[in-house]
Amino acid sequence: MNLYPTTAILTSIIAFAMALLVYLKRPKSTINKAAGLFCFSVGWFSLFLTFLYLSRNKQQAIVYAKLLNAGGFFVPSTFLHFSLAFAGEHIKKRNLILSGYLLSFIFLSSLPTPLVIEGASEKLFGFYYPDAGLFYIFFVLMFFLFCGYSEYAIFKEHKKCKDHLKRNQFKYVLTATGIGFLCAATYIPLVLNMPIPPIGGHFIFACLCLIAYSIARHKLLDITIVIRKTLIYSTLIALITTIYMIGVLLTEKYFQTLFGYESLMITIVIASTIALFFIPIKNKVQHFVDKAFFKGTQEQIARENERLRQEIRRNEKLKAVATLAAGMAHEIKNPLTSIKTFTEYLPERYKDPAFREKFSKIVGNEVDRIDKIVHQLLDFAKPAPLELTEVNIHQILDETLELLSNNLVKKKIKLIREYHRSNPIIKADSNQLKQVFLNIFLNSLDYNVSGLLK
Amino acid sequence: MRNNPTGIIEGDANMKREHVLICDDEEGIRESLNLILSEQYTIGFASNVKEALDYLKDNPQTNLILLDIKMPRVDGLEALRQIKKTQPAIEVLIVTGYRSIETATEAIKNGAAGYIVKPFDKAQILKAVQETLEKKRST
Repeated sequence: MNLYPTTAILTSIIAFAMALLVYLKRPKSTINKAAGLFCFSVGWFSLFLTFLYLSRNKQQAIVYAKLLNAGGFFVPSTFLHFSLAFAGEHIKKRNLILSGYLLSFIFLSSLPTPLVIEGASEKLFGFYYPDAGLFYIFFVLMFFLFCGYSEYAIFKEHKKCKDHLKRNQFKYVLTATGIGFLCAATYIPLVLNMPIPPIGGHFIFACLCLIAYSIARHKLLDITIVIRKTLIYSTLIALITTIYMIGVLLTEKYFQTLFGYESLMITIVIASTIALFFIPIKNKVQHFVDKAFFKGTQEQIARENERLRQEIRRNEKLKAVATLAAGMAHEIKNPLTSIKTFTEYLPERYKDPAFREKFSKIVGNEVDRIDKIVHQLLDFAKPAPLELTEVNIHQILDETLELLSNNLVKKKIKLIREYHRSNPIIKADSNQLKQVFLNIFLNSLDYNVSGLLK
Repeated sequence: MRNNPTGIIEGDANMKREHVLICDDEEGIRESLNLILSEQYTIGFASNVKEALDYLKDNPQTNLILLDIKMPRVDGLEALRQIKKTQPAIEVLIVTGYRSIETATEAIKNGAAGYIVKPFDKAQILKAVQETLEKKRST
């Protein structure tokens, strides 16, 4: 068994699977559509490359050589489309994308002629390989220009991006596609009769596997896959199986050359030894990928998640404080109104003893109220030790709901109060309980769709 | 008899004054509004919606209510709806601390004649009450 058709068929299977997965998950998304097309082109190319390697005669080989290039001609244009869509520039650079597809169609239309692909001949360890036509060089130029520009577009966006996750995604796509681009470029020299075998082809499927892994694990292309674990497992098994097969073949050949001896038992021993080191290697690779591209191991990610959770809690508290402040600002208006009115009448009524008495009582009470309200706000904002006292939970609920009355009107939410507890007295810290209720009510107002708060 | 904007109907030996009900749960607000309006109008007090409805039953001659939109237990707009249901002819001025267009719109939609924002001043209250009662007299 030779590696060339093996890796080609593997690349084809993985590419077609990715094309289907990526497209079906979000068929309306430009990025997913472009990624699907790109994977399909690679899959098509690889499939007919497999058939070309397995061709028995020249006529068959020529047909497959032309068919594989039918997909190959679209690799640069679909890659450009995907890269620009990923970088968010597909609308701005629409004309460039369309030009790419136009060029691909022009090359495609040349296939019945010998202008771009002349035919096929035996050049690769006895395998057939395509022969370049007169204008193949233009396709080579298109390949390098388009793929190079695509990489540059992603690189530019990566540099500009401030979002941590998106930056990592850009970095990942840049690396995986950069390696894929270099591997794909190794197909070209032999078409032009340069004696350089297309060894890069053995690694393209690995790049596809890594992209599939990133899609599944790190939400590249915004895909959330329910069977994430199965996909990661399957992708890694495909990768590892291939490495395993390569290892077995190479080791078998080495022993045969050394000892001049073929043995099934030796093959089984070699295969079992390699399989033993499998899982540790897989774990190391996973660890490396996470650390290199996603800034951390599982533990670091867990710490980052905890930090983000704390930040969310802090923001919720600030939101509650803001609502409380707004509610209390309104509460302060009442005593201020009374103080204002009484002081307005003071010049004309200060000789009236009844007025003076009322002034003293009302204004004094209202100033005390303002003081109490300000203290409540300060108590809410600062962390305080728990003070358990007997409180009326119905009263706490009413006071908290009063703070939200304007929000209820603004959002047109009807409030229904049904208190079933016959004895509303409980032991609690009233400020902290109010804070808890306020957070609950604020969240329910944010997500309310029924128009009722019960 | 001659009507004038002060609310005092002249020409009547008993100098009949127009009746205004102040409905607010805060004593300070009730006393403040009383201070402003008591010279020209006969004032009634209620500290919640139930008291207001009972007062209106006993005093059907009430022309205007100054209603606080935020009172315990009963939503101010709901109180407005209940009052307008029992006495459709009565005018209601909403008094509130919220300067929001949504609240104003809801109040007007439910039949309020106008909207006063706290903290208010003497002239503002007198003007609002006079204009509302004048409009009522002319209809």
